[in-house]
Amino acid sequence: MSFFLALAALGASGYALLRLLRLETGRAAVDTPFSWFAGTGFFALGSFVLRFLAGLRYTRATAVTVLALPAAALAVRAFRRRGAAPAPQAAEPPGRWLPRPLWLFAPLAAYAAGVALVVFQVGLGTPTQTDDALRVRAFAPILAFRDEWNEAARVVLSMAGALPTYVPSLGWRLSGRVDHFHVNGAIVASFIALLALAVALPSSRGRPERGWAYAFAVCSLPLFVYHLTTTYADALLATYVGAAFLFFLEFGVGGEPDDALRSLLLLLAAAMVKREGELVAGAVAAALLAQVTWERRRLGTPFFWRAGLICLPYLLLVVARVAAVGWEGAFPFVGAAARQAAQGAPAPVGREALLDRSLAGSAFLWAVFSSGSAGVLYWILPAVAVLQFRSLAQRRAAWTLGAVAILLAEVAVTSLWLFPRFTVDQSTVHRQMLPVSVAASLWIAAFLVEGIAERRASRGERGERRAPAAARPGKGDRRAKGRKRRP
Amino acid sequence: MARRRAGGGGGSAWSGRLAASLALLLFGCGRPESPGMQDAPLLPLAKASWSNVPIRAGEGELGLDVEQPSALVLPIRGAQELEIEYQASGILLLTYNTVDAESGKLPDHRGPPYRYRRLAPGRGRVRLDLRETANWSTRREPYLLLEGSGRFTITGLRYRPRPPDEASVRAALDRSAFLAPIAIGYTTVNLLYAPWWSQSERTFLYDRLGLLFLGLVAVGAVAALASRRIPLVGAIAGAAILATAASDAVFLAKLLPSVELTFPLDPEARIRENHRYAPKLGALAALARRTLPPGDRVAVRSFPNDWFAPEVLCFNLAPRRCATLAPGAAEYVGPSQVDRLRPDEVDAVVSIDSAEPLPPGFARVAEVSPGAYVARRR
Repeated sequence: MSFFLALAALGASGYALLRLLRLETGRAAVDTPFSWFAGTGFFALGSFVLRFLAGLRYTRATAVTVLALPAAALAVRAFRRRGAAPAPQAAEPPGRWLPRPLWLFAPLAAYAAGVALVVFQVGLGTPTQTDDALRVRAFAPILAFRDEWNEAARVVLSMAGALPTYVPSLGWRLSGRVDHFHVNGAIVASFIALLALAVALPSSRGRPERGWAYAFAVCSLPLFVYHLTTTYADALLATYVGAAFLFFLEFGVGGEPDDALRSLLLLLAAAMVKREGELVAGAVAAALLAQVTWERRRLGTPFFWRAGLICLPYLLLVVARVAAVGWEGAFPFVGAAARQAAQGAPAPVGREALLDRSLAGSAFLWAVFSSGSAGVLYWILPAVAVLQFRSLAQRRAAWTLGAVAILLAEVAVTSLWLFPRFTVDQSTVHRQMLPVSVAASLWIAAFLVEGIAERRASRGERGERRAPAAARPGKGDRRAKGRKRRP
Repeated sequence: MARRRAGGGGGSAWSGRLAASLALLLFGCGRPESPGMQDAPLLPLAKASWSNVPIRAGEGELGLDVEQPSALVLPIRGAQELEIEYQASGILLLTYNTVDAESGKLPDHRGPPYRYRRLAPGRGRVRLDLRETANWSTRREPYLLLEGSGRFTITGLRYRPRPPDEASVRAALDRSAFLAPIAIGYTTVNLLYAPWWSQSERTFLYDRLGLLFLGLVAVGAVAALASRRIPLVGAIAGAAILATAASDAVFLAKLLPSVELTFPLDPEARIRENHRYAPKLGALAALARRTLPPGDRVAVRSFPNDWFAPEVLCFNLAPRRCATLAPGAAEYVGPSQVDRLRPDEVDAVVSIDSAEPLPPGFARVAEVSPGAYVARRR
């Protein structure tokens, strides 16, 4: 029960935040899952900053205060602007929910629904530590509930990140009782929210084919689906990155500035999942910021002010993290890269490490293509990118593909250079690929569906252009011939 | 030619695998019953079997009393499958694998792939495909390991004998590996599965599916060039959907038999019932959660060098302070070194499979079995 209370509170807080930032879409089917992502991100950030920067203990009162902050700010704004005329709302295009052709999309939708059901049942039914003895990312919220942060506890916090630490603990904080399954619930809820957002966002804009293709593509990643039934945070990170990527893809189609801002907001939330969340979210943010910089004239100065406002809390997050776990704990990958760079040429590297590096390449390729962890995704991705290369620029899809490429490059650098041993023994390389795989699967679905839609539209136009010609009289139509001869 | 048939390289192998996959999906993921099983007389079998615990042998039964991990090696060299009729009591986990008959070296039974079944109390029947385990060959014998606490009695045993020739061995191995369900174990989160197309030829299914996709795209591209009615993007999408659908079918067929689809509403019941490969541990964790007050400081212990059970217990007992009991230590340390307890601070001890006596001043208050119990300070 306390989980549903937390779910509702986080959703309501997230919706108030979206209203405050004027980023709500006005469609309940979109805003509901979007609010979950925004609300969880805001709550994690607020609780983390209050605890480690302001030094306030994590109590029921502080939790409720953080949750209520967006609504309070919204109320203050409404009070200050009382009597003013409401801002004009842009007319939304009508939504369309049933994809066409139904015979093709119905099985895809049924598969996605079936997978969601299995994830729900197995994910909530499996003991929280699943196949591990101690799940660090599930232990962190328990430590948050206890709110006693000795040095060892802070190491756990650094590994888990603010979002997996604080979100599952909210229900416990409100009820005063720990139920481990809230950790499972938070992950399953994020996945359901991702699926709902994937289907609702394009459907609300008249493109349900794209939405259901997204859902099918994401549910066709075997390791991602399995991970959702465990409480490993890799799937959670992939879910947040996926939600942000959906808005990035929408920005690519419609060019609506608010979609870019929505994507940035969710990337900020993704940066709070695990230690590597920041790097993964940063890769997508880099491509997004490159696109908005390219289109800066069209977007205008106010857009960049709003983007700056959304990015500003990231500084708070960094400062709070340094305060919590120190510089090295706050940026572990920088430290690892520096250590690796300091080793320099292969000479000082041990024989075993050299062997790892020489084997890592083939192990990485095996993980990508042969292992089946991402299904057939990485066979499809290069084929689409190469065969449809000319369409990339026409459809503004190059930016989002760039984001996928940067993500993939990050994983390659980590797998081949920073930690080759974990690639050779196959212990982390597959999990690391999850955010890339989710983003890549969404990209492929969007690109192919959009390509087919454009093709159909252009055929329709040609058909319309031909239609008057077809209506022209044939040779045997004497009456028409007669009319034609008239001056 | 025989090798090709066995290896599964031809078109008939494609259709055979497809049919098997569909059958698996449509008919409840069960294996088709097939003839060729032989009865094994239990009394001679019991006399020739090896175990690390005494074997109960009688006319029509072969049994073990389980309180510690109890292994049983059956002298049926090259057996492909076992069908065991049994009677069980208590909480039992049956792990199956094979052991080299010549060297007698026991396998790393926790895999991967880690193959196990939880045995429900009462009478039951279980069918074990030994070819799904690592390193199965005709030189190896069935290895059964029983963990937990209770009595296990085999009341009937049938087996599928070794295949007659090398080609049949390869065919049997490939068929079994292709259909084997995902073995969910300790390393599954790292690598879910890498399904074989042909284990004997060491080719992977996803390489074949990838090539299938590329082939379909090539055909689509030629068709798109030949006819303006077929767009290239449509051909790519069609190929992608077909290849992905095949991948999804295989994934679901292999996943669904492995996962726990029961969903008790009570979280305590989920902890008690759904510990897949540590049922006694799950039952003890649930019992300790129910027995101990939230403010208790708990020391947990298991057999020497076992890190898994203490961490599972401490995790499930959180937010209670919890550490691993180390006899003679001035301070006990908990998971991730977060909790530290002095011996005099401990309110309760949770013990599983430990031969050590209880520390002075503690008495049992609840138990799952004689070796798995909760004790509190008197």
